[in-house]
Amino acid sequence: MNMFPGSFDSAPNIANWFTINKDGTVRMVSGKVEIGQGINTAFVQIAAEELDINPDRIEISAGNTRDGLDGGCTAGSQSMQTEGISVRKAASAARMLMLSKASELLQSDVLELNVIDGEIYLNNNSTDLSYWSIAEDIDFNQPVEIFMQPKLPSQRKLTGKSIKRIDLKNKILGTHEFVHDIELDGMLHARVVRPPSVSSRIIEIDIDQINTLKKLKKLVVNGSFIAVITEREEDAVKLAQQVNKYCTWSTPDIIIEDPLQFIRDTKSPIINSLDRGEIDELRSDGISTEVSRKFLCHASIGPCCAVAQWKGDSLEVYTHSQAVFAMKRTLASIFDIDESNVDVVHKHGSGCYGHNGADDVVLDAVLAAKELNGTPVRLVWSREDELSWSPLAPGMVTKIDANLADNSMIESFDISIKSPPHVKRPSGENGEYLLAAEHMSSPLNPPNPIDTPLDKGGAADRNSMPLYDIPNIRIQKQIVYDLPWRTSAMRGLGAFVNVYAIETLMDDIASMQEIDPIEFRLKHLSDPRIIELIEKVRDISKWTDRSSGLPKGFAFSRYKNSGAYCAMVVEINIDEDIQLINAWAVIDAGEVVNADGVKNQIEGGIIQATSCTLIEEVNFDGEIISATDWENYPIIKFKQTPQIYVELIDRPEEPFLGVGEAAHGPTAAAISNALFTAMNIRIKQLPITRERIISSLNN
Amino acid sequence: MVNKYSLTVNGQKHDIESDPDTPLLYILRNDLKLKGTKFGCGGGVCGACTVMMDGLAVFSCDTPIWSIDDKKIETIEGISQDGTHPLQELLIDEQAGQCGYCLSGIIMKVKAITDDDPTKSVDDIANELDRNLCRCGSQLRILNAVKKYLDGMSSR
Repeated sequence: MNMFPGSFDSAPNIANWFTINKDGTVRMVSGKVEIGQGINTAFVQIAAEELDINPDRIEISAGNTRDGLDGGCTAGSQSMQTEGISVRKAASAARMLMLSKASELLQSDVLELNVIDGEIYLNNNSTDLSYWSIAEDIDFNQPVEIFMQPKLPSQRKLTGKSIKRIDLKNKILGTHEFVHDIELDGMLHARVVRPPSVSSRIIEIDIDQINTLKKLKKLVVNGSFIAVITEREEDAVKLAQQVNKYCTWSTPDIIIEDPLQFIRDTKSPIINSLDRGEIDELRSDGISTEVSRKFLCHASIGPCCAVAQWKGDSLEVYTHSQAVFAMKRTLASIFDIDESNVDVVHKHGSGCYGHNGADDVVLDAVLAAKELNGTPVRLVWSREDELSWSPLAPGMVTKIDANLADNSMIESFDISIKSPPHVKRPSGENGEYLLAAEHMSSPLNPPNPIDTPLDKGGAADRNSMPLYDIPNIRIQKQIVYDLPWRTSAMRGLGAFVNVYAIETLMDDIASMQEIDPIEFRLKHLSDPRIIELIEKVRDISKWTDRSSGLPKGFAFSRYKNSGAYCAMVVEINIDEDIQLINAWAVIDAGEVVNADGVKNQIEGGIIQATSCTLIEEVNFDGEIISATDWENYPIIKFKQTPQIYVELIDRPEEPFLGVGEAAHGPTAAAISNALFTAMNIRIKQLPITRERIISSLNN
Repeated sequence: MVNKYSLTVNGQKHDIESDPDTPLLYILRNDLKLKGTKFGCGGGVCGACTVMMDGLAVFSCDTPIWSIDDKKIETIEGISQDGTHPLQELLIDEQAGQCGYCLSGIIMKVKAITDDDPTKSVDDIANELDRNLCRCGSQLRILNAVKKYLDGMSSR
């Protein structure tokens, strides 16, 4: 068993993580990258705690392959649970190593020493020594494992405090350098010339005519990957459209009328995710639900961007990818160059919420830059590219048949999940899942990805395993690989729909039995941690006082069944549209490092999930994705902002639990349950729109 | 066709040679190196590129340079000399943001609205932010900061 989840394989020594500088600063390396979730602030806070220094002293370098620390992909709400622990161990080891040196110099025992902001004290008296004075003479190339000695929970002072995000101030002042803002000497601008739809390929291109276009510096043609390079950014925008007039593209021959029906009718092999106890056919007194969600866009506000520069066979890339090392391996594989020749450097991007086009745009920029020897190229996607060429979040269908026992308790859940793949992240050789890799003159066709098994967190089947005491459970999934559209991870993966299915069904059964839906759940729970959570949200939302006021709905889940717990009550207003007015969330994320950081993630999660629940859906015109701008893929607006009340149950003795995706499923289900309470209608296809409510009333 | 244009940005006069239809956004970002203003959609729908022109909020992504000769432009970089505009300070206090990409446009929009009419309510402002999108879900924190900003203005 790997004792060190996270990044210790590539970074076993203290020196891999920390450099203590004479000038009173500390350089810290992180394998997890900032994607707006505040992870690097949490890491700085953990390190400052263990080192006993002011967090302002720490400069963090995150997601730079030159640092050598491979933290894997920043995804799945895993960063705190894996690398957060590694940071704590590595920082504690750095402290212990320095105190060992100080004890030698002071001829004292380590236990007699303490540290205040890097200054070393002996029996609480100041000494001439500090980290900054002794670090030079210490070899930090020593294993973390030998020196680590994290503080006990009772010794922590900074942990749990809401220190401010290290990056947010400059983002508010407009001075933070995003990947979009990088400017290298001689840098040119590029844009991709897009085919009409995903399986269209180039038939003919009138290069002679294109070369007469003014301001075109270079036309890039590599199979069906076509891009323009210009000196000025706005010229690339215009020329990408002009060049397309000289391109003839093939039109797809397969038209899928109803993608969700196609998913429902799939003949893909059945994968058994879980088989526990005995499953009978649905009995006449049983209850069944089938819920579905249409495809979604990640819908980042800033379109994806990358900057690439070739120098001979060496390649340097600036990117907002969530996985810089995987990108390095993938690029080395595609261009058949040694991995050591590829440097990938993370820079902050616009929020991605999963696997948007951040990786795809890298290959676009790299292919464009390859046409120029040594000149850096910056490539930004258009709004249309961002919405309709990023991988989509897959549409999906989840069905549950529930049988009830004689005592009205749930006897069995028989769960069936059908979905296109949720994870198509590039992963190196044979995993080159990049848009342009399909378009190049020698297109790559990496094998279909395997859907993550449920015991590893699952993907389509994520959170399909209810945490209620149900003796018999069967979970089966079918992965639909034969739709033309590219799909990959979006916040929560299958959890969004699976939690929606489970938590709306729990309310349906409770209603059938005329039991309060929270009471009904508590009857099926024995884990004291979950019970405390649910009772708390019931209290703070004044759940029992529902005689007047807005309709309320409840839902619960524990993300991946291994991350943070989230219990939620919402109040909605039903007018022309449904609006979320109030949300109360109680969160158990184990030990809390930054309370405000956790709250920020939950609040943002609730607002984004509300948008996904009430507004968002991708429609198709044949193979063409209709979501091309904010008019035909609207998201939530300021005037639809709910009030949100988040309470944390801090458990300093427990491990960190990831919170980034905890709120999504519960938000959707709680909104639906509030509507069900108010109008006795159950909307089974997301999003819950006015049209679907009217059609449900008419039926 | 390249023409000469004169514009004042954050109090500083600049002479620019440009095609007349070049969007202001690219002049600001690439000629004047003011990168705080962001590209989001190119169609004046998301608000990431919002700047102030003679006191009014405009989308710099679809404002061509020919239309702004001799106008006064204010960007995120110019709203306070030392980065301590009260609205920015309140946003920092509230930790109002996640990825932060949308923020400069939202700040400029709120500043334009409230400079013009400091008696607006937070609900008025939420309505007027109809074309400023935030995908991370920071709206609640942003509006909380705006509310405090409005309270501060009315008590001054």
